[in-house]
Amino acid sequence: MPHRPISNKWALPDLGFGIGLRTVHFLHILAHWPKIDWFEVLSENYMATGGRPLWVLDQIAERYPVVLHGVSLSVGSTDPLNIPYLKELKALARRTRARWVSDHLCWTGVSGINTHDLLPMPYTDAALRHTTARVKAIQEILERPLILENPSTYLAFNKSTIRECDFLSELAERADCGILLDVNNVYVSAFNQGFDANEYIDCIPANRIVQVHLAGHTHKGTHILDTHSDHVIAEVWKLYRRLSERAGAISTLLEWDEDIPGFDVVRAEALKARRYRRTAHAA
Amino acid sequence: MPRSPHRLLEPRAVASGGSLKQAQLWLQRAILSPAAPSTAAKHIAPSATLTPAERLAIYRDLYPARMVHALKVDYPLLHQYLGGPLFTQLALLYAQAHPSRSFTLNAFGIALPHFIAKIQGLRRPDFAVDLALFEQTCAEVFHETEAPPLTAEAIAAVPHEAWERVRLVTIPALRLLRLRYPVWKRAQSELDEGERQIRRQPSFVAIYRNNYDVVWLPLSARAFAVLTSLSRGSTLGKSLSAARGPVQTWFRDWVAAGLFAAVQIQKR
Repeated sequence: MPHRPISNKWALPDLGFGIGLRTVHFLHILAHWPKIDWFEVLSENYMATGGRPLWVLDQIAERYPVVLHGVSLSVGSTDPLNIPYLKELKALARRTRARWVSDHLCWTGVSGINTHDLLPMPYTDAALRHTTARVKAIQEILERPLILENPSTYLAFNKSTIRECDFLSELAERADCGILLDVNNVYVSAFNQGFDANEYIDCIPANRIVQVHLAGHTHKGTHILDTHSDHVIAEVWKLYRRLSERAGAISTLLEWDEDIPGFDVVRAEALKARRYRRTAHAA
Repeated sequence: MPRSPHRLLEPRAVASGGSLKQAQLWLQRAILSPAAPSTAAKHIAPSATLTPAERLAIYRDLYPARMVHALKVDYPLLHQYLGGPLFTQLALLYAQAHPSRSFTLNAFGIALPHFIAKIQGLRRPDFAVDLALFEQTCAEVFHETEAPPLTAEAIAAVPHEAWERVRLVTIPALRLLRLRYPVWKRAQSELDEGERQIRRQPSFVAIYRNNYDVVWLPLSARAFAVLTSLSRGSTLGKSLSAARGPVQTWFRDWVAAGLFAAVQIQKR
């Protein structure tokens, strides 16, 4: 792999261009060991299971760099931290030699319930203090920096007083955690919430961005749903290029979770990012 | 129409100026409740294109769709048997009565067989319950810990004089089910005309994992009794003492299927 300059404060590597590991691609990967820089793995799919998916993950982690990406950490919840979950997540990270562990700036439930959705936070000082404390505690248990993704949101609380990009940036600074900047989520939330996507991209501190997500979405006219079910649109590629111009080369992942096409189609979509990153550096 | 014995959840009024916890409690209740709350505007800002209630509705629509899909993934045969609309109706009632309390959706549907047993108005309810039990057990086996099976050679190496005292430890990914119907026949790709209405009869099956594939082995009542005794830790001597039937054939088939993981010899 050619040397790439490292742009984040932990010197976590630029892994290149990766895709999400999906069960529909298992057979293809096991048969062909295709050329792809890295895989992102949905953490919960490989926790509390001893079956085939875990065996496949072991084979893949032996051959490719892997990062863990979760959806149930519920970092912003007012429920107590789920310690058994965190211990199992830590064990999975060790088992796969995960380069980093990420989840979302959100909460998924309270009173012991999990809605299995990435629910929006009210962006207030109290929520910032609360979430900062939880991120610090999580990082102590995991013994590594947590990487938090900006969410796609479909509503905003009346009580919010802080812009989301400022909330995420300040949280990362206070908790000393990393950021997974989902450029498609920026686009989706900018439309749904009425903020400027370019300003959001520019707002996030570059030295805390460890990874980028790209994905497709579904436009409903009055709102956009973050469905990860299609190619990346041109406006999102522009945001990615804008980010690359400012922040340099960052590990980039293409998400495709619904109506998933064949492996080669998804891989080709991920590799398009190479063109936009090159364009940015040539500028 | 099936009726659930479970009480519906309703969002209670929560002051909009309250704490983070109150805000989260309100939103969760607003999403999970069958009825949309009238208080959306107190908590949620409008967008340029949607009212607060419409913005909340996005989450309210996504939640049941997600939970019904999770149950369809774990219970495809039940979905096929009941038909889409009835399955969806049951799944929604179930999600309301048993919201997920795990970090993984793998655990969400675990109580569905028990839930179906309490539903009134289902056609052939015992069949539906047995089918759900069968599928839930298959899912359990799928996720169970892996253990390498004993080979025939390893078992043959046990000294003959010790056989009475041998305990055969079964693999973790083995479950034994006693059912009222041979529901696994629904998993056959083509059913004979006469089998489309599967008849009620005491049915016994071993569900296990072989090379990470979930498979099932129908058993006679006697074979089921012997295998159950072994899986509970009884010695070979005890398990076979009252057994009647082709025990050697059963044994050979079970070893070939990889049902045993270890041999323990009980001290005299």
